[in-house]
Amino acid sequence: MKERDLRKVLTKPTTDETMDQKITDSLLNPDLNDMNSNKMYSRNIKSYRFSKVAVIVAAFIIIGTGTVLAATRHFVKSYPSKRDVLTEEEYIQKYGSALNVEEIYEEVTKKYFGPGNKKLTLPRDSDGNLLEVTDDGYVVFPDGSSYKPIYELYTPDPDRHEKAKKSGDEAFAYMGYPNLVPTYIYDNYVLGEKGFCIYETTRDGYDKKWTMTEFFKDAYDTGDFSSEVIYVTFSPAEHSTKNSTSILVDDNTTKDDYAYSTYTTKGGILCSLSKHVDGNIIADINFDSDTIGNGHMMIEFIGFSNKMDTVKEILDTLPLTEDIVDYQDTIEE
Amino acid sequence: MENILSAEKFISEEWILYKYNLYKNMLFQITFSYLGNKYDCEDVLQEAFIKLCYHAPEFLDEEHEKRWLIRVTINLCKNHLKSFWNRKKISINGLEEYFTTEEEIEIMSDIIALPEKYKSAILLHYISGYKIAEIAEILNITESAVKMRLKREREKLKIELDGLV
Repeated sequence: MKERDLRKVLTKPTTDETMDQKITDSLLNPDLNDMNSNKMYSRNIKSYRFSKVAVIVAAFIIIGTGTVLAATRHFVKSYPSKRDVLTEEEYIQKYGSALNVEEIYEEVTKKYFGPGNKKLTLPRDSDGNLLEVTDDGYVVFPDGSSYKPIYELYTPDPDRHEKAKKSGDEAFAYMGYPNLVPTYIYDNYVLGEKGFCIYETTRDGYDKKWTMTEFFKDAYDTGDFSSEVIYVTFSPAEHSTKNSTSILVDDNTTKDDYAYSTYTTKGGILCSLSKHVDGNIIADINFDSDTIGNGHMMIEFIGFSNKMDTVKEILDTLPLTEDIVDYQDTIEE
Repeated sequence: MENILSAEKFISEEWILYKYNLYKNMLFQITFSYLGNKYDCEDVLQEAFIKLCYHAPEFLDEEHEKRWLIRVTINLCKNHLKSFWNRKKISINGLEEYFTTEEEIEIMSDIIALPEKYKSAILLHYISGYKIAEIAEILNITESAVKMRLKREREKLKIELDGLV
């Protein structure tokens, strides 16, 4: 290939009128939704997220329910999680048929537990100090001038962390489990706008429920909400998770793109870690418990490529304790 | 002229449209090379311009602004691809809308498939027209690292040099 051919191809795509109109409209009329820059991904994420659900459904074949306990820490037996990374073609070869995402999606019902939070900041001056907002919605600048913004101002809920935990209590209780989200997440991150989402479906004679929830960095002072994002997925398991394997169907990555390791939390819980070459980290926790039930938890950390210590700190606050505590505070990279 | 409030400054409708028209195609081409489809590009472009209009720092000059915007856009593309749920669903089915020959589609598919780490250097050079020293400044890496990235990408894409760099 000639350089000029490469340049010609690279510079060929251009925006079209429809796209120009949509983007400039949003720039010139920055209402609540448009100013929520992260929300703009919602259309795409909706379908991607569903794919995630489908993979989880396929991965965790055994689904069940447990019993709610009021205790803050729960004794469980944790097991390593095996992850298989397959292309769609390999998946078909191995399991005989393709993963039908659309079919699963059609059957799923969703229930939300909130309220979640918007990724919007209040106006600030160049030093980051909040500007005064009058009761009738005018922003007052230090020189006394004021202006009424054409977009709605959003004030973060001062009780957002407590409310997130309460929503988690309700969402997990709906699945028959205690709240299993690491407390560090409740204390330092913000529940995504949709809140906890519980997915329900009946397949192969089983009623299945699982949750998948977004938390983003509490960045109302900087607006940098996307620098750290955490997705918590929990799937109840009817049978033991001891030998369960999760399957990631992905045509764009291979098993070799992940560095696999384990971390044992201070509570003795074994976490299987997969760090992708691009930096995102996935922690899988499989556990069995006679008291709370069995389950699979997957926590995806985005924006933590150089923050393994924070990941470990978060995992240490999982409200789970190993039945036979084994303090092995090491990580095998 | 209608003034719109940002957190730190007043901006005019004319200013927004001027900036949008100035940068839209360059940024679209960069995002397309990462994401491979119009719809994801539109989202990233929208977010990049919102950052420029409402959350940008003060710039020394237009070149400073352009480099900041390029960096923001590349970072947004990378963020978009960070989650493997997104990465696994990258769709390049819309290439026919922009490319007419099989050869062009093949070239663009190869570009999209390039590792993210090395892609930015080649895009900054061939789309934005930056020289090696400028790319090094923008990406905050050494000139030799830029040369190495360009060399590797050219090898991957089997590019014959026109003697431009």
